[in-house]
Amino acid sequence: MTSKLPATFDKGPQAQRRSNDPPILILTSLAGGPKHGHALLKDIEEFAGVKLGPGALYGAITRLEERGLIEPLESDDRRRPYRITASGAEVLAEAVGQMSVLVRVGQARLRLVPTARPRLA
Amino acid sequence: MGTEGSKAADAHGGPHEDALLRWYPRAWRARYGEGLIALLDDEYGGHPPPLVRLGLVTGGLRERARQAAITGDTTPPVDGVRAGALMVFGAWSAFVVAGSSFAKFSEHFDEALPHTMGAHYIPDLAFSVLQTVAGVVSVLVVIGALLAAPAFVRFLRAGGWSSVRGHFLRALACTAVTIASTVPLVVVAHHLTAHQRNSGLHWYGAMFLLWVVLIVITLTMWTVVAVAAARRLQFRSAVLKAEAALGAVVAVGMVVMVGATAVWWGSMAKDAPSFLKASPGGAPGSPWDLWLVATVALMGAAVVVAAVGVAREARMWTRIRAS
Repeated sequence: MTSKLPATFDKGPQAQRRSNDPPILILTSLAGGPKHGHALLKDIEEFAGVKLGPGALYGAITRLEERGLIEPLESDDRRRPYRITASGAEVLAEAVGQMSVLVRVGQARLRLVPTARPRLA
Repeated sequence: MGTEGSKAADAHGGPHEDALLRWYPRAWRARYGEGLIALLDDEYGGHPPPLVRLGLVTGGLRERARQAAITGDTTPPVDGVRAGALMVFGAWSAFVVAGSSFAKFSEHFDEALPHTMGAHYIPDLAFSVLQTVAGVVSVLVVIGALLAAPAFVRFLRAGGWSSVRGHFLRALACTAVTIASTVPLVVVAHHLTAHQRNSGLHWYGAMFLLWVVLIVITLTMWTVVAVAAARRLQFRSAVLKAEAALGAVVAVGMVVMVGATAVWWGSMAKDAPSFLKASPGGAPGSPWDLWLVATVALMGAAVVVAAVGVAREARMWTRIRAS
């Protein structure tokens, strides 16, 4: 299967599937609406329990913007918000799809979910 | 877009934040600096803790490496090949410093070897290999510079002088100071005995060390001039290919020279241990001669940088061919 994900986020392709990858975390956060740097940090910490450093956050923002996966919005404030682009949403959807396969297989093999679903009457 | 860039030529925060931002390239600061400072204010009240500072320093260096096309995949592959070749060139400059240090260290080594059959063979052979390869590699570096000359002339005609003028003038001033300090050093050295010149007189040793530091700074500054100019040159495909090939050969030459130095070192430790000593004032007989260890460490570091440069060239060249 050919992946639509960018060849690399400056790491190997395996890294793209990690749910704690800064680019994936940022795309996930921005999928919920535009945010500036500080709001991104807080949101990511809340939904993923990951505290990104400012250097890592802005490094990832730079890469994502270069690849056209996010874009800045006009703002008079120095806190410039970013939003996810259509390409970014597509990339995130594929990454989430890949991770959900991993989640399903892992759950099944660890018997965390019943293998046969109860039929509705 | 460039919205953030047009808003401010450069971002400004508190003195701590400004100092941290300086690790990032100017273009990056213009684009993202305001946002990053706002984040630091919001999150840490303008006083980020040490680990965050370290993260910003490494982040800034990473951005600089990316801007110089040393890392990353978003820069054009042609820039990546050129960056790889420039890494080899920079590594060669460091190797020249290490080589000069080795040349000074190994002065009169033949006299320390015993006059037995075969004792001179290996160290002499290793030294000859080192000298020959150094000569060949130097010629290759000059050829590389000559190949880049037409692109450099085009760069100057297109008004590129202003972008390297500052580097050039600083290097020129440093060269003038170095030359001015060489004259009294030579005059003084002329009136000293060989023993006085070789750690017999502490004040002369300090003077010589200062002169060596000046030489290293001057060489570094000219390397910066060359790299700053070459980063802006537009090479024709054939020239770029030749520069990449020369870079690879220079890197191989550096590896051979490190090998020859190691062989020389081993044979001297075996046949003339009195030539080596653990510290400048220490007793002779230790194979771990501090001067030699430092020299070979610098050579090794230069080889690593050159190898990374060649790998970068190869990777980017593969991308060019694939496209």
